[in-house]
Amino acid sequence: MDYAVEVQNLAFRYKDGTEALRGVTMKVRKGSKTAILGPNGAGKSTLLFHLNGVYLPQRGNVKILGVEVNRKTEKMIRKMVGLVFQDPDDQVFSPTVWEDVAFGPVNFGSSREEVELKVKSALEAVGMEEFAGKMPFHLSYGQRKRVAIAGVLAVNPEILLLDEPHAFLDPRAREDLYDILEKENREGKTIIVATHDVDFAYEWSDEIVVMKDGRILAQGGIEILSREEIVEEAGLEYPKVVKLFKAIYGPRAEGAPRTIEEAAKLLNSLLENRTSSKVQKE
Amino acid sequence: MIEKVDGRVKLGTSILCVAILSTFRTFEYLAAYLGFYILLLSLTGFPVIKWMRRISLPALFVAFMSAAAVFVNFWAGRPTAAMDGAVLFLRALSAIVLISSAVYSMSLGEFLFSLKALGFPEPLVNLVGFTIRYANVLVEELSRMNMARRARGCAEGRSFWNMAAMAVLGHTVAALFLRSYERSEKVYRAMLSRGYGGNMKSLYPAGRPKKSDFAFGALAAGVPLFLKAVEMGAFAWITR
Ligand SMILES: Nc1ncnc2c1ncn2[C@@H]1O[C@H](COP(=O)(O)OP(=O)(O)OP(=O)(O)O)[C@@H](O)[C@H]1O
Ligand SMILES: [Mg+2]
Repeated sequence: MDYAVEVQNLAFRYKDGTEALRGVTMKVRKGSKTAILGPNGAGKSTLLFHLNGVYLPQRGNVKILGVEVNRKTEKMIRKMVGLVFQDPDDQVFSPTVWEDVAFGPVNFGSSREEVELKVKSALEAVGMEEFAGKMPFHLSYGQRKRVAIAGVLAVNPEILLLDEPHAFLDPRAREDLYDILEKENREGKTIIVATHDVDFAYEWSDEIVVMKDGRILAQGGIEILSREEIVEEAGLEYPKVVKLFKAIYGPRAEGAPRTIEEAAKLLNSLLENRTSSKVQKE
Repeated sequence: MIEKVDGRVKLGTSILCVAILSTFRTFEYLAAYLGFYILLLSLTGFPVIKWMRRISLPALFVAFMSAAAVFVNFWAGRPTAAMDGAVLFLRALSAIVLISSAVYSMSLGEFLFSLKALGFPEPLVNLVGFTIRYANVLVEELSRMNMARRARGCAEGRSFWNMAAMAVLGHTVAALFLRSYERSEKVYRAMLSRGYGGNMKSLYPAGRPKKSDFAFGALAAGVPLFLKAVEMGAFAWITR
């Protein structure tokens, strides 16, 4: 099987002595959609920095599309892997929105015409084209977040990492982001999202990774989000749909549908069955 | 209009003009040139008001320094102190006016590229790029901290002599540098993650400046040259 990301026993300690990662091992399939969940300080952001080659492993190793991340390969890795930072203020640093989105493509050697095209389509994708000439600092937080996302889309990397992309986005922008991620994934991109939004993770992902204290607590399909011991230990909560099904069927409600729509359909058909069986009885 | 002129020509011409103007000795000629230049700018649709607001702070600073020079010279007993100060002020002001109006309509990328194209050494250009980005970070941090402070009920000290306000100012500056240092580290990380590798790549492939660019440059540099010639007495036979 082809893996986009292979992490072996990765450990990382910050300068002040904080052990942010303590032996992380995980794999992410090529072309898959993965959500990383876990409480504040679990090490999600630190892990993502490693996948993009901004941090190099202190122990263990990281492979991206089969290439080991090290000093020699870091530049190449950064072109393959785009990272949207958790805090847009850390990522958006140019005097204008346009220049900021252009920063990646320019550095990776695109020509002027290519850059113009890439910037335009990236800004369109996040609905920020009319702000191209503005100073990022004068934008709202959510708008800056969108600019940060555009800055990575413009590079068109094979693997997309997004750290808390939903925070501060309005409902409409969240939906747009969902569509953007779906579209990128259909084009064959591997997408990894660190998030606190369990509903998003449950509805969107192929694969869930749960982290705690710099370790992987669990990895698997979305069903692990309805497992009590994991949700408890990681301080998560059940997705809304799972909550509903647990309320109806009790604690052993695995295999709940993924979305509100699916749940509604299921409940409707149950109700219909009931009424029709009632009708038959009479 | 001026924003359509090639950045290299604009910047090069301004630097040349500043060099010429710095040799002017007469107040009238300097004033005449400045007046002419600003008139030209406003005629070509340059956003003069906005731009002037931007340069008001450095202009004020220059005025202050010139005033200090007048004071010192006057003390030393030089009779021409006031005039010298005025000339000094106009020279410095014209440098600000010329360079800032040239740079005003350029993006950061174009500015850095123009510097490089004019033969400034690469490390210097990178330094300038970093400084500008860093200055942005500084300004942002400052206004953010001010906001946080005001939100928590701290009135802005209006008086410089108010001790409490001074203490707050001191803390602000210290915190500003610490925070900016952290931010700049993060910004550096962000630059790395999007392919930055030690030098600023630029969007502006060395397309040659056009004839119209050079025409602009010749015109812009020609006027101070002409004035200089007048000042040196080249046309004394007319003005006499
Ligand atoms: N620059 C730093 N210096 C020192 N310690 C750090 C630094 N950045 C993060 N840490 C610490 O490393 C640990 C992991 O942090 P990380 O940011 O990876 O967590 P996270 O899972 O992304 O949390 P959140 O959900 O809040 O974003 C935390 O204990 C944090 O305090
Ligand atoms: Mg984080």
